[in-house]
Amino acid sequence: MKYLIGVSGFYHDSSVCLVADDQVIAFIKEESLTRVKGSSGFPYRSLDHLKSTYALNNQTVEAVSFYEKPLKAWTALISHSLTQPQSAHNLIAHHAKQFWRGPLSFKVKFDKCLKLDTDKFIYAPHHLSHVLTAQCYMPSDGHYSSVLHFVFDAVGDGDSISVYSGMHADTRLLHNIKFPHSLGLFYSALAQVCGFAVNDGEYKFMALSSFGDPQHFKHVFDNLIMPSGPELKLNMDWFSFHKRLDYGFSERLATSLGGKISPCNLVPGTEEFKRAANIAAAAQQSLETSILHIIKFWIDEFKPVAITVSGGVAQNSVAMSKVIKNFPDLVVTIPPSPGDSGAALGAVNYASLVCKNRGIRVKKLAFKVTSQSRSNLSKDLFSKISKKPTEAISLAASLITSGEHVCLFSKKMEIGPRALGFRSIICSAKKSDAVRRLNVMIKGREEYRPLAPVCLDSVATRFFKISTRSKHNHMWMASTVFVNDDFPDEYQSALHIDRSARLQIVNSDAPLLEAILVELKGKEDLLINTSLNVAGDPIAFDLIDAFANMKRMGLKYLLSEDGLFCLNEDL
Amino acid sequence: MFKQVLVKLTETSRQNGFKNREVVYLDFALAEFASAIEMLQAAKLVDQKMLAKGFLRHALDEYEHTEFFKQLLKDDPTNHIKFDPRLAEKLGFLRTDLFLFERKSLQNFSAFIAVNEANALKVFLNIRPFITKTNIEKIPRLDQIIFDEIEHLTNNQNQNEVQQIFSSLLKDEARHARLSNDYLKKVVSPWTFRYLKSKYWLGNKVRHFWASHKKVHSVIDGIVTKTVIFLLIKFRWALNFSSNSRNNEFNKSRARLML
Repeated sequence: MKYLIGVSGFYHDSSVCLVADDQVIAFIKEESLTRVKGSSGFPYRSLDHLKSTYALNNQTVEAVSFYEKPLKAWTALISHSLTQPQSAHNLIAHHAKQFWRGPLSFKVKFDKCLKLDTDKFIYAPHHLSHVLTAQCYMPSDGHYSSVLHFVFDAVGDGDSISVYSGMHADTRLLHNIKFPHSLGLFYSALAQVCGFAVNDGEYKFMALSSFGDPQHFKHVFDNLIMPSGPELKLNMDWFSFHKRLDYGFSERLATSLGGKISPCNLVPGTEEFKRAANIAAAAQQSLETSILHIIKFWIDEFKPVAITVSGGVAQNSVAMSKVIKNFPDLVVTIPPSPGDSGAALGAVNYASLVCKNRGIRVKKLAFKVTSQSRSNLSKDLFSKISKKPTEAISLAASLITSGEHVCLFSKKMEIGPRALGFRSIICSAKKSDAVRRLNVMIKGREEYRPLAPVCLDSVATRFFKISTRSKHNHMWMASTVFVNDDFPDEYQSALHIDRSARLQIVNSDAPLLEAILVELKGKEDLLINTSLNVAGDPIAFDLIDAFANMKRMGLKYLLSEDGLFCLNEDL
Repeated sequence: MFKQVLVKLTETSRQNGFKNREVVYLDFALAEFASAIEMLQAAKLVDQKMLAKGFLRHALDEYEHTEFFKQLLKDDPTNHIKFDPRLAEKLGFLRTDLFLFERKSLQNFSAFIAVNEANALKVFLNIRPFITKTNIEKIPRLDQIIFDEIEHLTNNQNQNEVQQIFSSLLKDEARHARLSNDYLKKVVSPWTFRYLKSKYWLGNKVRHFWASHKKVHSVIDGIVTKTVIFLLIKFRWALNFSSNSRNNEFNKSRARLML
C-alpha cells in the first residue's frame, strides 16, 4: 500500500493527514498530542505517531505535500516588511529568523522524523490547499457545471483572498488580493482590541457580537475597509499587523474605539462588556458585508451553481450563515475544518491530483485514532456500568433526562475544531440549569458563549430555518441557523441571545450520538453538545486525556462503543 | 511544578511586591501547565502501570495549580496579559519535538523531577511572603487590588485561606519531590544518585545564569538583526521573484518548487 501525506504547520493548528487508496485513513492535529491548543510548530508528534502506527517509510510513502509554497510565502512577507524598515524592523527580524526556523526548513524537519527521497516532496499553493479541502466535502462529488471557490484567509503565500474556479486538476485561480489587505487580520486586530488572543479568541469575539449594536462604532468602521469591484482594501493607517508582531491595531484605532479592553473585564452587564460587544458587532457586520461583496461580484460574473468558502475566516459560522442565506439558489459548501489545520487535507488532495490525477473525497466526519498509552492504564481509569450496546444507550439516555452530563468517546475522532459526537459532552437542552452548569462551571467557558444543539434531520427542519441546498454544512456545524417562529420554549437554553444556534444535524455518520437521539425521540428532541475538554485545552485524544479532562471537570459518565462507564474516583 | 519560572526573585520584589506581577503569575501558570503536560505524557509513555498512575495523579495536581495562577491573572482588572497555552511552547517551557520523558531515561527523568520539584518548593517559599506580608499602607495601590482579587478567588474568604491554598501547593510540591527522590534511590546506586542530582542541580544553575542575562542576549540579537536587515535591504531586488500562479498548478515539476 502506498501512502500520501499532507502536512500543515509552522503558523498555527499544525496537522497531518494520511491517504491510502484514495481514502483518508488518518487525520491528526498536533494539538491532540502536544495537549497545547493551537500547537503551531512542525507536527513532529503527529508524524511520529502515524509513522509508528502505519509503518511509514521511503518505500511505502509515495509523496508528501506541504500546504504552502514556503519560499513564495517568505519572500512575499519579508519584501513587504522591507518597504518600511524603520517601523517594521522587529517584523523583518522575525521574518529573517523564519528563514531557517520556519517553513523553509520543512524538508529538514520532516527528514528528522521520516527520511524520504527529495523528489517525493511537493509544495501546494496555500489557498489552493484550502480550496482542495473544501472540494472533498462537496455533495454529488462536486459534479456541477460551474463552481467557484472563495478563500478568505489571514495570509497565505502572500495572498489574503483568492477566487478559484473549476474542480480537481482543472481548478484555476481567477483573482487574488494581496497582503496586507486581509479580512482575517482585520478581524483578529479588532478581537485583539477587546483582549482576545490572535488565532485563538476570534470565535469568542464572534459570540460576543450578538450582544452589541453595530451602529455604535459605525463612524470608525466606515473608514476601515474599502471594497470596490473584485478588490478590497484596508485603510492601513488603522492597523499595524504589517509593521508589528505584538499588536494588529494602530494606536489610532484603539483610541477611536475607547481604548484597549482587558480580557478580565468582559463581564456581562458592565460598561466594558457593552463596549466590547459593540466593537464585535461592528467588526462582524463589516466582515460579513465585505465577504458578501466579493462573493456577489464573482457570482454575478460567472453564474455558478455551487460555491465553496474556506480559509480561516470561513470558521466564522455566523458570517457563513449569511453567505448561505444570501445565496439560497446555490449549493454552498464550507468544510468542517476550513482553516489551516484542515488544509493538510487539501495538501494531500493536491498530492493525489499531481501524482495520480485523481482527487480524494472524504465521506466520514471522523477517523480512527490509536491510544499512545503503553501500560494499558486506561483500563483502570473507568468501571463498566453496562456492556450491552442497547442497554448502555438506554442507560445513557435516562441519565441525560435526569439532568446528568454524559461524555461520548468513540474510537474515531473529529477532523475539525467542533465535537460532532465522537469526543463530546452532551446534556438535555430542556434543563437550563444543566446547560448553564456545563457551560460555565464544568467547562469554564465565558457565559456569553452559547452551547450548540444537536438533533435528528426530521427535527431540524421543524425547528430551524434551514437552506435545503446547503443543509450538508450542518452535519459538521459549519454555519449557524435561526429558529422557526414555533420553536418550543422548553429548548430556549440551546439558543444564543439572537435566537440563532450552531446546529448539528446528526445521522448515522455519528452513530453514538444518533443512537442517543433516537432513544430520546419525542422526549428530548434537542440535546446540547460540546467538546470533551476543559475550555482552552485541546479536545481529548485518548482515554487518558478523557479521564484527565473528566476528573478536572467533575464528570462521571462516559459512553463508548464498548459500553457505558463510570469514572474511577479512587485513582 | 518542575518547570522553572523565569522571574528573578529579588529582595526588593519580595518586600515590595513584583513590578510586573501579571508576568510573574503568567510564568507560574505556564510552568505549572507545562509540568502537567509533561507528566500526562509520561503517564502515557511509561510501561509500568503503577508509575503511570502516579504520573497521572501528578499531572492532575499540576493542572489544578495552573488554574490557581490563571485565576490570579483573570482576577486582576488592570491586567492585559492573558494565559495563552501556546506561550508554553514559544517561551521554551515545552519543547515542540520531544517530551522530557522521551528525551530522558526513567532514572534521569526521576532525577530531573526530584531536583526541580525541590527548586519549585524554594520558589514557592520565596513568593509566599509576598502573598502573606502584603500590607495596604506599604504596597502600591495595584498590589492591593491584586490581593483583593486573590480574596475573590477564594470566594471572598479571609487571607488565611489564601495561605492555605499556597500551603497545599507547597505540600504537593514536597510530595512530588519526595516520591521522585525515593524512586530514584531505589533504582540506582548511591553514587549514581549523587551524580544525577548534581548534574541537574548544576544544569539548572547554568540555565538560570544564561536566562537571567537578557541584556547580553538582546545586544547580540540587535547587532545580528541590524546586519541582516541592512543586507536584506541591499539585496531586496533578489527577493522579488515573479511567479505566475495562473499557470497550471498541477504540473509535477512545478509542484516540487517552493516558489
